[in-house]
Amino acid sequence: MYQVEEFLNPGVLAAVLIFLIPIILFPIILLLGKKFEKFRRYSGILATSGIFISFLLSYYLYSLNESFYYQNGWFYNFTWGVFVDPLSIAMAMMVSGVSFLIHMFAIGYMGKDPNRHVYFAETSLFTGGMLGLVLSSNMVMFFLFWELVGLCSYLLIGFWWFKPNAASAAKKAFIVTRVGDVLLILGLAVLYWSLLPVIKTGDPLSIYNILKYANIVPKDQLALAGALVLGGAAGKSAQFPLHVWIPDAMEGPTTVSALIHAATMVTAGIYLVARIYPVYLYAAPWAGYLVLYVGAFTAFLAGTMGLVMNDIKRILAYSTISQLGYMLSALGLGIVASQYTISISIYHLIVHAFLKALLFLTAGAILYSLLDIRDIRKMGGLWKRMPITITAMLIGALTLVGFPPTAGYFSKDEIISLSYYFSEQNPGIYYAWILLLIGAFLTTLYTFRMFFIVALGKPKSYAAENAKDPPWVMLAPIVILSIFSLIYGIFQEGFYKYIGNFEFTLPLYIEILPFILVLFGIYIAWLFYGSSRFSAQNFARKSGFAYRIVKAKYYLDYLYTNIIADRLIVYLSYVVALFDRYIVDGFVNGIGKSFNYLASITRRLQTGIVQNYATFVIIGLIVFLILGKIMGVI
Amino acid sequence: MIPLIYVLTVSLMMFTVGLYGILTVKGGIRLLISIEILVNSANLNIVAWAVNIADSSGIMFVLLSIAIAAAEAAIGFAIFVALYRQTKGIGLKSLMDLRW
Repeated sequence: MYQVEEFLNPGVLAAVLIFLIPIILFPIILLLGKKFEKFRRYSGILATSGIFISFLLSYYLYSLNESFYYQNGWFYNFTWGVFVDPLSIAMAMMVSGVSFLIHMFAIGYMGKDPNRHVYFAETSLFTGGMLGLVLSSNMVMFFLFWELVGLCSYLLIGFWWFKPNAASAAKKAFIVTRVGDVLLILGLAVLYWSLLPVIKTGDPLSIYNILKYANIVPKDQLALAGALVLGGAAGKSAQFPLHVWIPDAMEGPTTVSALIHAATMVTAGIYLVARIYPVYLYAAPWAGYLVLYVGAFTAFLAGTMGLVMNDIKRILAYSTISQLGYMLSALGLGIVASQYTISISIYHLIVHAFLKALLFLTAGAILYSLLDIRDIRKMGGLWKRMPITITAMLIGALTLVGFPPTAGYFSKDEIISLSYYFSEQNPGIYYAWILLLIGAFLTTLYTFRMFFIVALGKPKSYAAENAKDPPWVMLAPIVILSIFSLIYGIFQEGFYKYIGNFEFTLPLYIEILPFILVLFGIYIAWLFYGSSRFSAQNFARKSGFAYRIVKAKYYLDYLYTNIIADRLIVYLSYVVALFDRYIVDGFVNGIGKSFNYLASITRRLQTGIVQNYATFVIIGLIVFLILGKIMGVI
Repeated sequence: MIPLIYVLTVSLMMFTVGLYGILTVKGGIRLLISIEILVNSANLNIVAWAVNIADSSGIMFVLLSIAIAAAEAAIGFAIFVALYRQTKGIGLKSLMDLRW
């Protein structure tokens, strides 16, 4: 890691252009599309090629094989610049690559939408914001891009704003992530406040210095900062108390869901924790346990909710929440055990990006040919009708559950094994292992429930009978992503070495325990949904109470909207509004009014009679002459 | 030759009359006349001094000044003609719009 002084360095220029190109494309596509009707059909191609250039530049950074940072004065002790290390390069390549494939799919998927130039402009900005977030060298710059990503998610979830569900889902996503953002900015404030006394005066408050000085900051302050920053990460990455926005966000176009879940938005929270990993490492231990158990509990909880959903996209949404829980707990495991386990978490993040993009794109292809029917109970028998799409979906599902030899086996089972490995020395981690293990079982159950209902059996609607594979512009990304999901496992060792290696060995029966659970889960899903041996309805009826709670998403939505928002926030807002209206506004208006009053008196001087003015001029002249005489100037 | 002080006294008297005029009169024409008196008192002053120190350039300046005074009177009349078209009068009261 070294500092690059000059801006015109090929590495620095490439890193800046990576996020600048998609951001610059935003106004270009928007304005051209607005001015020329005919341009709109090319907007998708323009956005896709812009992101492809970003991908090539990311690959160029990778081929440089160097870690460096560049910073330039911004304000006070803050600098803007780029921070390039294996972690950010891996993220940038994943974001731009997966985003490129999703954009390519969207050329077909959004091809008939009248406002597609707005769509592509916004997704381009979305990707650019995420790339900027990944490469920024300063937490304040990071926060700006973080907010840009949040704004774009709001715009894109509400892209079909005329649907009331989409409009309210967009608002919900924005407000829930805003809670996280407030926590994040508080966390950054605490972090800087505790960092300033130990840092050398004049040293910029960059990420580099945060990582460098984290070990000499008081542990309790770091833990507080870490916990607050974790709140921000939980908001963006949909972790336990703040996960409620993701299922509703499915109201946007499917490609937007793919972007949010795979490439851009939700990975930002995991990246945030990984980016300032030493802060947690040197903090008081409770911060690490918080990270671990938020992740592990979310992985378990989201799995249970995914079991009872009937909307294909919502099932995938809960699986995303669950997998993000795995990534976060992988980070937490390393923190609790004081080891450097970023590579394991980020490897799962990247594998998950491939497989989740794949699953969402196949879901998009299904929705495309089924005319937006999202209820899996109305599908069925699609394997015969859309062979390529559903085969790709099977690959995605196998990768998601971690079936060897897909990439998921190498990434997810690694996390579960890691938790067992650490729990041998640290019994506090033992429960996390159990939660993650059950989470893996639940993942298998709901993934294959979805797959069996969608792929097998008889078509249950007219649209499902006439489904067929989508055109090639949509199939090509799906095929590429399925190949990646299948073979990415061979890069495991290289990837771990690239980011930072951590090796461990376990007895075989622990290593294959998740795999046994996966097989068991597939078998149970087959019994219920693949064959008609058991009836899921009967089972749901028998376990009535538990089913009702899970179906109602543990009443968390009810708690947030009906109790916290309606009973608490609304009344609080009344008080705050009164304060604003009478005290803040009163102060501002009071200043205005006092000047108005003063003016109403003094303006009487302006009589409008020219001779009065002349009189004043002459009196003034005489006064000046007399003064000059007295002071001896004249 | 008339002593300088006599001429300066006349000039001062004219200046005072003119100043009094522009500060008090109510009609536009009177205002213009007062200004002429002011300008001419200044001219008289310059001529007196020019003769006193026997330098003809002062007299040339006064000729210029008279020409400027004529132009300025023409502009003043133009303003009052425009004002008359607006308000059917050239009393200075009708110029009072220039205020709050």
